[in-house]
Amino acid sequence: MNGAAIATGADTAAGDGRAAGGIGPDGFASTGGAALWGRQVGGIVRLELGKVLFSRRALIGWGLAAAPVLLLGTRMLAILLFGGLDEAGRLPTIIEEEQVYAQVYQTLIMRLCLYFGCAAIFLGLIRGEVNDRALHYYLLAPLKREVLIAGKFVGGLVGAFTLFSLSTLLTRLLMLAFAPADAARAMFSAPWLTHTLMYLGITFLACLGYGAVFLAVGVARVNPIIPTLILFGLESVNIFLPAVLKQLSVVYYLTSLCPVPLDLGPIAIVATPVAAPVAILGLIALAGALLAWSMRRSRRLEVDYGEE
Amino acid sequence: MSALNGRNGYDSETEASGTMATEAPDTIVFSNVSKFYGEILGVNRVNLVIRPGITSLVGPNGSGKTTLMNLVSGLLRPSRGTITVLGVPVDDAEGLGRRVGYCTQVDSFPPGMTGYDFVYGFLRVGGCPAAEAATRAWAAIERVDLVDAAKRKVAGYSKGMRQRIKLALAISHGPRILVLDEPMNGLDPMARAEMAALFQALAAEGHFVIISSHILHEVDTLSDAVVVINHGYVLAEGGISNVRDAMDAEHPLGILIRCDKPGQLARHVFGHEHVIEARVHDDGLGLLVRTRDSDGFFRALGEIALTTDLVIDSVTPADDDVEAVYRYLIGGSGETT
Ligand SMILES: Nc1ncnc2c1ncn2[C@@H]1O[C@H](COP(=O)(O)OP(=O)(O)OP(=O)(O)O)[C@@H](O)[C@H]1O
Ligand SMILES: [Mg+2]
Repeated sequence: MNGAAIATGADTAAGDGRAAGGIGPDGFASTGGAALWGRQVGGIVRLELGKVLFSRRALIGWGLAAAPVLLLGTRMLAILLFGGLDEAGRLPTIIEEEQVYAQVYQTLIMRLCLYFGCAAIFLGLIRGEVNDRALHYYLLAPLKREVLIAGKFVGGLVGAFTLFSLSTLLTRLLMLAFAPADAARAMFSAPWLTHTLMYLGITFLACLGYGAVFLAVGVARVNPIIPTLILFGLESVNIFLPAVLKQLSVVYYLTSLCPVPLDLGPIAIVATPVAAPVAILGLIALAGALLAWSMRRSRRLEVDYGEE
Repeated sequence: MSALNGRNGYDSETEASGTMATEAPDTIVFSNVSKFYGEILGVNRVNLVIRPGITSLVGPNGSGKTTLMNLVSGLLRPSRGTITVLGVPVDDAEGLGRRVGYCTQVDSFPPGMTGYDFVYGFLRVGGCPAAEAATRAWAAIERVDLVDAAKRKVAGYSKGMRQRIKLALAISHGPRILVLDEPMNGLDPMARAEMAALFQALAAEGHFVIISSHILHEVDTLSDAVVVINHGYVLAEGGISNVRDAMDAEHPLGILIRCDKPGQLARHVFGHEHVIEARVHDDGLGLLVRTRDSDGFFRALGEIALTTDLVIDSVTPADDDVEAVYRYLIGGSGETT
């Protein structure tokens, strides 16, 4: 049925080539399958990046990405201006800085900035279009709903990772400011370089995981504020959750991957990290399941801008 | 806007559709379609067959025109019943998107885009390769005569320009079916005439052009078929020529006069010979008059307004009223019930 429909679609539009400057048959149907889907995803990502990176709405993302850079930058300036950590003017070592960075990354970047940044970006993929009353342009385009959702997700992912990888990279570079003499050496020696790559990886997985969560919330077309706050609460108390629920928490996997564990004191016993491969696969599986659900659900997506 | 009528991407589709007629049905079929918004009725038990040519959906505000159009284009799913578009079920978003171009009533755009970005961007979303999308976008923009404004932000467009850039997107991928929700809105008379000419050209080439209006005479001369809809029910459908013949031959012109004292007005009106019927409207706030000589009647009405203290709020053709159209369509006696 479907195959026949596509074939007639191609026939129907076959004449367009002439109007389109003699570019052969209908550009939509001529190459089906993966190549077509790739172009469609590319087309969506094009539009999405403009919104995620260069629109008024993008200010939230940029702000959240800039916050940790500003915080660490201010701290660095303060230490340098006020002459170090103690009377002797000692500057923190790179090992000490790793501990500070782990604090900043896990509490500020991972739990706050990435969480709310992804909320803003990925909720915007569907909900933002409803607010702009522009969702129908996507729903009317000749593409499968599943591809539409995939394209939106990829667009959000590329946008979010651009913002937050920049943020991660800049905060990591700030660490080196205390060791100007040693910076070059520190940069290319473990653990700075490997840790930086690991943090970038975690940032990517965070965008993937949170992104899938918020895409699903957006596709479900419920008021996002309540789920966003509830999830935020759950993610915050994540280490106290029972094992089953933990596995459904994005932070659980991300924390397990962090190269420098936080000094949690007495509650450290409840925080049992999982092995890195398990964490990565767990996160991908979680994101994949949510994405699959969103795709399925999207077939029922209807325009509803409220009564006109 | 001569480009609108010129040779365009639709031309040879007619030939193509000729060859495909045996493969897929050349109709849009609604069978027993209902759509509810929660408890609210959108449309109910619609059975319709739409054929190539210009089909007008006519009905007052809230009658369900947009609902029907959203159903045909897949923006809404029927609560009950089935719809097939050239043999394609409406849950096939891709197949439907290729066949249908829909210019909605929604007057909003993704923020920050120029007219060209808008058309080009959504062609790319549909999977059109970059070079072809550019060519198609320009071709469509040229067809709606918006080339000069194409590189300006849509936010700065006039209502008529926004209407036209939406139309450009709707036709850009060369769909067989064009759905336009109140396309004449916001257009000046010149632009309306050009728009009408475009619809007729497309219809002549074998396209489906489905337009909506709440004013019958805005579309009557244009339409090959009219679907009259009210409160979510299709009241009647049929060829407009039959409808018009019936209206001209058998039925005198109906006029609804809104005024403060309809009873008093009726006494004055009956004094004129060409008036064959005058009755107070059901709501008591107007007078329904039937006359064989409308020019004469309007002159008489002017005199009445001058020589009495009656306050006449409005004079409208009663045939705009869907109930009246319905009576004409089903060949009723013209009596107000
Ligand atoms: N999203 C919605 N939620 C609830 N009710 C709706 C919604 N959309 C439409 N309706 C209702 O469905 C009915 C039909 O609406 P529709 O928009 O199809 O009418 P219309 O003929 O297009 O009207 P108009 O001439 O004003 O555009 C109306 O009663 C309307 O209030
Ligand atoms: Mg409407």
